[in-house]
Amino acid sequence: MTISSLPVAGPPAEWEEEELQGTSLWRDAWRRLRKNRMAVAAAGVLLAVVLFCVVGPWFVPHTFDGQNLEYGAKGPSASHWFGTDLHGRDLLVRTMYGGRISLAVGLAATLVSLTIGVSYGAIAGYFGGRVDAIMMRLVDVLYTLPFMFVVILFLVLFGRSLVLLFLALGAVSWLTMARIVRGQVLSLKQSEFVDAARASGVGHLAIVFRHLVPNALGPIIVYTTLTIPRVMLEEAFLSYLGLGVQPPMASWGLLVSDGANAMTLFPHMLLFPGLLLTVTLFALNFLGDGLRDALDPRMRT
Amino acid sequence: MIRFVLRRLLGVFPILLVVFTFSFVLMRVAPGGPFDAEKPVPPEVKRNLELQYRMREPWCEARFLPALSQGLSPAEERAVREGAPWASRAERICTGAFQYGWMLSNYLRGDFGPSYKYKDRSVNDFIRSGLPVTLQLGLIAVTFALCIGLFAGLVAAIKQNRWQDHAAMTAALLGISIPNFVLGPVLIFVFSLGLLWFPPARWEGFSHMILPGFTLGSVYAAYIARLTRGGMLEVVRQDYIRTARAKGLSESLVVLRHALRGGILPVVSYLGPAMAALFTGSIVVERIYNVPGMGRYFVDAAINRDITLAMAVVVVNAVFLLIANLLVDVVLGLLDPRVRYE
Repeated sequence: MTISSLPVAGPPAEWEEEELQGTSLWRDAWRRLRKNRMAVAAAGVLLAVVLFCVVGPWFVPHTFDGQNLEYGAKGPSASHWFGTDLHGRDLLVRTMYGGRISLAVGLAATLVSLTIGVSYGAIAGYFGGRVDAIMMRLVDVLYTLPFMFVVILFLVLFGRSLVLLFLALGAVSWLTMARIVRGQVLSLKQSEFVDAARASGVGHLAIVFRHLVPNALGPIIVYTTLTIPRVMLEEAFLSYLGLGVQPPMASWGLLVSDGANAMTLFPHMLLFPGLLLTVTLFALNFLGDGLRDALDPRMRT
Repeated sequence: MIRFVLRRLLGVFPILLVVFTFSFVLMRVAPGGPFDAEKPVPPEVKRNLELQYRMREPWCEARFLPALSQGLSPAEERAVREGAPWASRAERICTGAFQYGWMLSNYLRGDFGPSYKYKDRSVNDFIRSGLPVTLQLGLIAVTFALCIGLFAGLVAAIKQNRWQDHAAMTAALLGISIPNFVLGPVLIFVFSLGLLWFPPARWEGFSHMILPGFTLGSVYAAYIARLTRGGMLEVVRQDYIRTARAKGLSESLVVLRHALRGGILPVVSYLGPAMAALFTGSIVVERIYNVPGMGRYFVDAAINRDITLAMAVVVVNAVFLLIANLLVDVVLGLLDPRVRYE
């Protein structure tokens, strides 16, 4: 018997199948996320809240600014499920509209902060050395400043428009994103695929945005999910102070502010918007934590 | 160490200059003046007011727009400015430069000037009465946040993945998610109006400070709990903890003496940025509980366009934040032998 006649031990069948399927970071993360029941529940709650706010107003026979001064503020009833406010406006539909604005501002401001933070962090990390030192020192300094004061000043002096609001919020909440992306890029830029890109003549900007940033997508997604509730909170904070959207429009912050003023007589005015705002923020934070555990097991603490 | 502190102190001044300059520019380019809202005053009176606040500079007017020196009505002035846009711009910049120098030298001497809105009170008066209140409120909030946060975080870390851990971390996430302007009114509703335990407003003694302190501190308690847990779990895996255990030290000694020192490093470094957030939070909390502090003055000043006061609050806050961050860095160095002052 010669050696060549021995049956050649190929890889077992299961292996081959697994190799064909492969397992990517994303598939892995998806599997881990699905196992996290709380995170799945949070995603469900979020979906419900979004549907409630976006689709809800079509099913309610009231408008967000339709007043009924004679009716006034009343607790929940069959025709007004969340009750009415001091002007007799239906609180259910106002909460839905408020949610639309709060969610929209949260998303838009997060997008602004995402754009600034990712570009800033990626450029600092990629070029490294003195550029990095100066850029990140600036971030350290900005971290210590009381930004909301400047935002408030800005909104008071230049008008209280919605666009200005989310631009201002986005412009002051990109710092942590910049730090995270910088760290990722710093460790990724030594990889072979970057050398390969450089060797084939790809420019600096293309390397940063086409090769490095997509590879840092995991942490970027995680932190984006966690930025949305923070920015929504800030929007609500500004609306609470009367600097966000103006009546008769509504946002959750404004509704909570109205509710807090009237709570001794009409606690329902504080309860519903406050509860919805809290639940949404809680779900977003929970989902963000779940995504972090799923996408970046090392960060799990 | 001393050299480090001195160098950092020197670094504070350029930052303060930037903050000052930024808020000054914001104030200059903002449309409308501080005296617009009042009932119209005779042009001479308005001109004298503006001269007093250095919003007009005779030298610049004479140089670029001599017509203005006669004291024109707003409509006439607008016509003159529109007739000569470039000279008008040059005059504005020139006046701005003079006003900038004047205000900067005043600020350096600790004189924040008069309030635009309250003719009988200077900005210094407001800050002298508001700052101690806000600092008190902040101190109570931080103390509270540290007590609760460290305790919850330690328990969660020691009982990792058991129900105590899950309960503490869910509570922490809830603490992060409840806005303080929702929590505040709810607490007033329950503890002031319902149970009558604490007064709902004003600032006249310790019992007045509990609810505001709790409202302001809850978010930070939550963050601190999460950071403590994370830091402790990180440290517990280190070799020196294994050594301590191997020496036969009791578990409580290992946790409190050896692990805690390394485990709370993330908490300490968080305290710096947390100061900024505390000042921000005080805006709302002081409004909810009607506390006469800096945050309240600031919002009122901003809405009334009392810009000198608003600007001074921003700069004073920046001073405190920078000092707080410096202190945090020093403490971090004392706790962590790996940190080297360079």
